[in-house]
Formats: sequence, structure tokens, C-alpha cells
Amino acid sequence: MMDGPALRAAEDFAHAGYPKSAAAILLCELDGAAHDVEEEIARVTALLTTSGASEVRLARDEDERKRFWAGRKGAFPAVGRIAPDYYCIDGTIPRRSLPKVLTEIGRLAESHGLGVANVFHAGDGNLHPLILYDAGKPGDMEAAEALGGAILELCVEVGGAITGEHGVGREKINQMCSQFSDAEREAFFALKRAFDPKGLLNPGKTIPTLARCAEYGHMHVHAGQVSHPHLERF
Amino acid sequence: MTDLTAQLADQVRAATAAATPLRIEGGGTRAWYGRPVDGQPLKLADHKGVIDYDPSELVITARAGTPMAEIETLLAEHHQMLCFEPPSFGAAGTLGGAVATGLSGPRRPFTGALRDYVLGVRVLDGQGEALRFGGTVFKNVAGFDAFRLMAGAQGSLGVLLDVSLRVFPRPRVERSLAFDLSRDAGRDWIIEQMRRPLPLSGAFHDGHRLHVRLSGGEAAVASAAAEFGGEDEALDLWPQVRDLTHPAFQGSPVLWRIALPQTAPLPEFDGRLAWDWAGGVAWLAADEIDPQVWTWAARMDGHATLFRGAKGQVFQPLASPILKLHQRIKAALDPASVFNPGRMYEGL
Amino acid sequence: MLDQFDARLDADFAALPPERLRAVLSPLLPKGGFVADVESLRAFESDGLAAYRSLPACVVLPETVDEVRAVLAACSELGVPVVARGAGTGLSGGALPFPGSVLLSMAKFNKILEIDPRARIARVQPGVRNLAISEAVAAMGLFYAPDPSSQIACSIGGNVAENAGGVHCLKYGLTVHNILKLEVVTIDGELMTIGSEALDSAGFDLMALMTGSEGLLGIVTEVMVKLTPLPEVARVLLACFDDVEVAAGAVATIMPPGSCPPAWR
Ligand SMILES: Cc1cc2nc3c(=O)[nH]c(=O)nc-3n(C[C@H](O)[C@H](O)[C@H](O)COP(=O)(O)OP(=O)(O)OC[C@H]3O[C@@H](n4cnc5c(N)ncnc54)[C@H](O)[C@@H]3O)c2cc1C
Repeated sequence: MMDGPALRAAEDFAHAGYPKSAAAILLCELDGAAHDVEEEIARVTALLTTSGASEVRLARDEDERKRFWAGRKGAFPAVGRIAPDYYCIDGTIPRRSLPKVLTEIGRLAESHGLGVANVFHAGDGNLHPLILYDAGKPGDMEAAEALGGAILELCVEVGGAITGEHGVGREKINQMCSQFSDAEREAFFALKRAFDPKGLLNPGKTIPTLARCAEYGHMHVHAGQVSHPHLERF
Repeated sequence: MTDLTAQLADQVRAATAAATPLRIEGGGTRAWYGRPVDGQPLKLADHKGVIDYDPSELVITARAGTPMAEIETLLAEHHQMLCFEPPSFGAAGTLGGAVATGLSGPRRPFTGALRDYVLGVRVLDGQGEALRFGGTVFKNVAGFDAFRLMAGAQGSLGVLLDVSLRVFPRPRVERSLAFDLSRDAGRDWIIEQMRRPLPLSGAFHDGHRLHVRLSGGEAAVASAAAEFGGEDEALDLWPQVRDLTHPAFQGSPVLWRIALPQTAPLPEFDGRLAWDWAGGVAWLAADEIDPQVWTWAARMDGHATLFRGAKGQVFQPLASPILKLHQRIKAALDPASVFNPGRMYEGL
Repeated sequence: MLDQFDARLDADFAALPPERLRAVLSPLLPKGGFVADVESLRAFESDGLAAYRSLPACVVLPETVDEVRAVLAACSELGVPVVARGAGTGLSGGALPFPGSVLLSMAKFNKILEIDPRARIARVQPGVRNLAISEAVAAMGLFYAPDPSSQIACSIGGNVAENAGGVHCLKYGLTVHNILKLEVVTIDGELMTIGSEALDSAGFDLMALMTGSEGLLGIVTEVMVKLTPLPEVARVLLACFDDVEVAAGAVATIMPPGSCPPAWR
């Protein structure tokens, strides 16, 4: 799924054939045995229409199918053309909280003074908000980093995760303090020591130390114990 | 619906303080799977209840003592199921026991194993602290996948408190077909079929005939069945294969399960031989334990397990560096070694 | 910014003079396999998260498993941190060099070692590109299912380390669901086989632990992947919405009862 800003950037970049006036588009691939796919197409088309789609189009041929996907796969570089820089976030949420989370991301973006284009793996709740910023502008990169962190914490609050596929690495080391308790992180370190007692393999990544979490100062916000009171709880 | 986390944590803390081993017990239906544990019972059966189930999210979260039968009935009411087709060895079988033993049924080679459907767990560690690994979403790569590690760890890394499982809609149609093909010919045939995108969901050879199950959309199942031919048979065969109540598994003092590469030769030891998992698991019903089975399985890049008749060793011996790593992993999560010590291996 | 590592908050290792590293590591590597001049190091200063940059002490490019073992054993002995790098497309700074570290590039491990269409498996070195596997087996009617958007560039070793997903993972699973066996070298230089060609293994599920471990537990030197039959047909629907929230709401409904269960094998 792509929202308006993302789909328009992708369309200008890849000429995928997306309707630029739409507020959002959803791509849904069905594969398998030929007969089954025909049945599924009918079923899913009906479902999408009853859930409010203004138009549902089936790619006519392999060429058009590839073009539809090219737009999605090229969405990141495409967004790179509408802003000097972009920062790709990768959180996961339960699918049922998607409408709420989208609204909240919009609110957070506004309060950080930055734009966001949204690309999701809709079927599994994996969000890729692309934060638009300008590294040449003083403070913009820091604001993008802060907004990214806030979005990931939002994902944890609704019962999701700080990373769906890009990993923690260095980038999300602080948000690990939000998703896991001291004891949970200590268990990860203990597992690491079972393989690498001196801690030589990829230090400073993936599992934050107690000292880092203390310094970063964030509370453990397991789903349920939360700080955004206006969000509905699940 | 009872949450016994606090009491269980107290028991674990006391056991760790006194260095008393604990024998973790669910419904007791899988107690035979593994070596006997000499310890005080830690009873999970009353820590039960479904915590959250939203069919549209395709996730169910329940306490470890919840009977599997209750979970499967609830899912069936919503036309959903557990794709790993867990075996049932009695009505008392619990979710915790299913996850700790990690066993999957005949669907395994087609739709994945139990561990592929575990999204998250809450466990008690050796300090009696409740830890949550994973969560309720499919895509989640934060931290090590300690939740998948718990699947099949036989309770030796922690006490499972609750588990979130991914569920799926039931297939619209299922059919079972029988074929007069030998063990080897049947295996070769299914290996060839698996190179095509067919709606297969079971392939079992009982020693005499090949049985194939198809699951999926109407059209795909009908066209595969028309192409395969064979003889239509009742679907009730499959629960018998899953639960090992089919005659192919019965009537011998010893029952071996030998997991092996699908294209490796089938074992040739004394006894009756059947295979499941499209030829990826051989079941050998024998009169006595032939230790050559361990060596043969290892040579084939597989492993053997004694499902019946074990004396001491139940699971395939581990290579020494791997066993040492297992011991370090256990010590990392259970430093006082109180959780089911020795259940998998001596000294673990 | 987070590309600044902090000895107090992250980790602290005694710095080693570069000459010492060269003297110990260079003899263990093929010609050109030890790089320490700043100009060349720049090429490795960041991964796909380009805003974060940091230089390692040196880069090593081994070509054989024995060289990997020797390098790791030497680093363990010296107490020098090691950061593995595949294709460097990671988006979380996983391959960002730690100051003073040895950056271990697996780029030379780029061979497909074996394809067995009958068993539907391939054995590959970790530096092989994700898409290269599907390309190599397409004529046999098979493909390697996990398809991250970066698949033309990212390496299978990096995919294992990140448990990479893809556009089709809802149906075909993540990396962890599509690999059978790993060869892994530990920091002590020990070579271990994890998993097997059989569908399960005795003992703990170490495959599950290694997958997604982001280079913190061991170095992957070989991967056995499962191959999946290509679907007969693939069609795509494009649904348009006038309202983002309506679209978001629709997403939750498109897994109707009766959909096929996943195709993990
Ligand atoms: C445009 C773009 C789109 C992307 N789309 C997706 C997507 O759809 N899905 C997705 O999951 N990811 C995606 N990614 C992220 C990235 O491609 C994946 O994380 C990929 O798995 C990284 O592989 P790599 O070879 O580039 O690894 P690197 O970036 O080199 O390294 C990643 C991590 O793996 C470790 N590592 C690498 N090789 C080894 C080894 N042999 N042994 C042990 N550890 C090792 C490194 O230390 C590091 O921690 C995308 C990236 C880009 C740039």
C-alpha cells in the first residue's frame, strides 16, 4: 500500500500507471494454480469494493503486472526525488491498528515539522514511513532521527515491533530499550556470550547496554503500559 | 481463565535458590517424549485460558496450560486452523506441551513446522522473571529470535507462560487419494510432484500404499485429483497419521522416527518401515533398538528419535562442539540448571 | 548522531596499532585481502543507511573458509572487534564499522556451490546475491522465494543475518522459513554446521537463533536454501482509494476465509 505522496512520487519516477489523484493505492498479488487465481481475483475484487475502494484494476498482462510492481519497488528512490533526503522507517503493527497509527504518524510528522510518505507491506502490518528532510538544513537530520524514534515507539505501544525486516543494527539501538525490559536485554546478552564471550562480534549493535538504556532514559513501554492516552488500546 | 504467573515465578525462585531441579508438567500427554526428569513437578495445567484471539489478525495468544483441543475448536469455529497440524496424544495435551516438544504433523513439508508459526512467547527465566520474546506480529526482527528457540527446547530454557501463534484460514476443499505404489516408487513420484506448484498437504506411505492429501481451492484440488487418478479415500486417515494411531506405527516394542533428506535412500533395518512428510521422515517399527540407526541417520545428514522403547538415549547424539554450545545456551538462560535438566540429553 | 560510538554506553576495546593488525592478519589473507589505507576504507564507511559513517581499522577480504577461521581466531586472540559485511545494503547500520574494528567483507564468497532441482535445494556461499539464486534455477521451474526489494544487490549472508523478508513473504515466508542449513564460523575460528538437509534437527533450534542475529553470534560461510516451484500464474490487482483511512481499514479484510494456507516447504 502507498499513500498519496508516495504513489505520486513513484508514478513520476517509474510510470507504473498509478492514478495520481488517489489518496492511497493497494497492490495485491495472487499467485498459484490458474483456476484458483481466477476465483481469488473475483473474491478479493468484491471484498476490496465493499471495503470502499473507488476502483479495482487487474493488471491486463505480465507487462502491466511488472510495471505495477516496478512502481512499488522503486518507491524509495522515487521519494528520493521529491525531497533532498529521506529516511526509511521500518516498524510493524497489528493490522487492526493501521488506521489509528496512520493518523498518529501524520500528527507526529506535523509536530516535528517534517513530511512523511507512507509505503507498507499491508498484509503483514509492516510500515515503511519515509521521512522527508534536508540534511543541508541545520537540525533537520536530528529532527528526522527523533521522528523516526517516535514512530517506532508508537509501533511498540500498539503491540507491534520496532523493526519488521531491516533489523536493529545501530539505528534502532535506543528503541530496543522501549521494546524490551532490562531482564530481556540481559537474556540477549547472555545468549551472545554463549557464542562470543568477549563480545567481539559486531559490538555496539542490536542489543543496548544497561548504561545506554539508562542514559537514553526511556521507559520500557510494552503494549499496554503507555504514554499516548488518546490512542485506543487493543 | 487463570493467570498463575506469580505463583509459578515464586516456585521457580525457590527452586533456583535451593538448586532443586523442576520437572515442568503440562497435560502429561507427551511426558514420554524425552528422558525422565528427576525433579519437583512444576504444574502448568491450571495456568490456562485464551488471552486474545482476533480472527482477522490471524493470531491467537493463550496461556501455556490451555488444552490444545480447546484452541483447535475455537479456531475451527472461525474456519481457521494451525497449519502445522500438531499431533494429539490425549485430550489433556496443552499448548505449552505442544510448543515445548515442537512436533508437527503430516502437513509439515508443505506448510511449515510449529516453530514457523510461533510469533512470540512469555517465559519464566531461572530467576523467575517473566520475559517476553517476539510478539503478536509476523514481521518482527527486533532482538534474537529467542521465541523460535523455545519451540522444541523441551522446557529446558525456560517455563512457557503464554504463546502467540499465527493461524490461517482452513482450505476450502480437501481430498485424500490412495495409490498402489511401493515405498520407493511412491517417494520418487511425490518428489517429482513437489517440483510443481500443486495443492499438496500430505504424502504418507503406510508400507503398502501411498496416500496423498490435497488441500486448497476447488478448481486446483479437482484438477490435481483428475490428473493423479488414484482411489478416493476418507480423510480420517490423516488424524491417525498425525497422532501415530495408524497401524503402521503400532504393535512393536520399538518405534524410531528418522528424519532424513527427502532424496536420501530409505533406511534398511529390521522392522516395518513407513514414511511420512513426503519421504522426509521414515518410521521404523522394530523389535529392538539397533544402535546402527543413530550412525546411519547422522551419515545421511538426518537424525533419529526413539518414540517408543527408549533406554537412556532418546534423541540423536550431538557432535561435541554443538553439545557444548547447547550447554552454554542453557547456562545463559537457566544458570542454576533447574528447568527439566537431562530431559533432552545427559548433562543438559 | 548514532554513528558516534560511545565507549561508556556501547563497548570499549583497547586500541591496537595498525602495524600490529597488518603484521598479524595480512599473512593469513590472499594478496590484496588486507586493506588499511584511508582512501580504500572510505568505500566501507557505511551501509544502506548512508547518513551514518564510521571507519574501521582495516578491511579484510578472505576467499576461503579457512582464511575466515584464521582471521577470526587471530582477532579473538588480539581482542579486536569484528564487523561482518555482505553487500552493504542494510538499512539499519548493521554493517557500520565499529571504530578500531576489523571489517570482514564476505564479497569474495560469491559462488553457487550446488543446485539440486530434484531435492529443491541450493548450496550457496554467503556473498551470492539473492536474485542470482532465482535466476540460476528459473529454467528448472524453481525460485528462491524471499524477495527483498533490494534483491538485485543484497547478499544471502546478509539476508540470513537480517532474516530478510520480501513482497511475497505473507505467502512464502521469511528467510528463516526458506533455509535448511548453515555453516558458521565462531569468533574462536571454529566451524559449525547448524541445521541439516532434513526438515528438522536434534537439539535446540539453532537455525532460528542464527537467523536474524545481525552478525553478533557468528559468521555465516555457507547457506543451504530451499527452492520453491514457480507459480503457474501471478496476477496483480490495483485498488484505488479516495481516503487513506478507508484503504487502511480495507487491508484488514483482504485475508478472507478460504484463502490458501502459506506455501512454505
Ligand atoms: C532499496 C532497498 C530496499 C530494501 N528492501 C528490503 C526488503 O524488502 N526486505 C528486507 O528485509 N530488507 C530490505 N532491505 C534491507 C537489506 O537489503 C537487507 O537487510 C539485506 O538482507 C542486507 O543484505 P546485505 O548483504 O546488504 O547485508 P549488509 O548490509 O552487508 O549486512 C547486514 C548485516 O548482516 C551482517 N552480515 C552480513 N553478511 C554476514 C555473514 N556472512 N555472516 C554474518 N553476518 C553477516 C552484517 O554484519 C550486518 O549486521 C532493503 C535495502 C535497500 C537499500
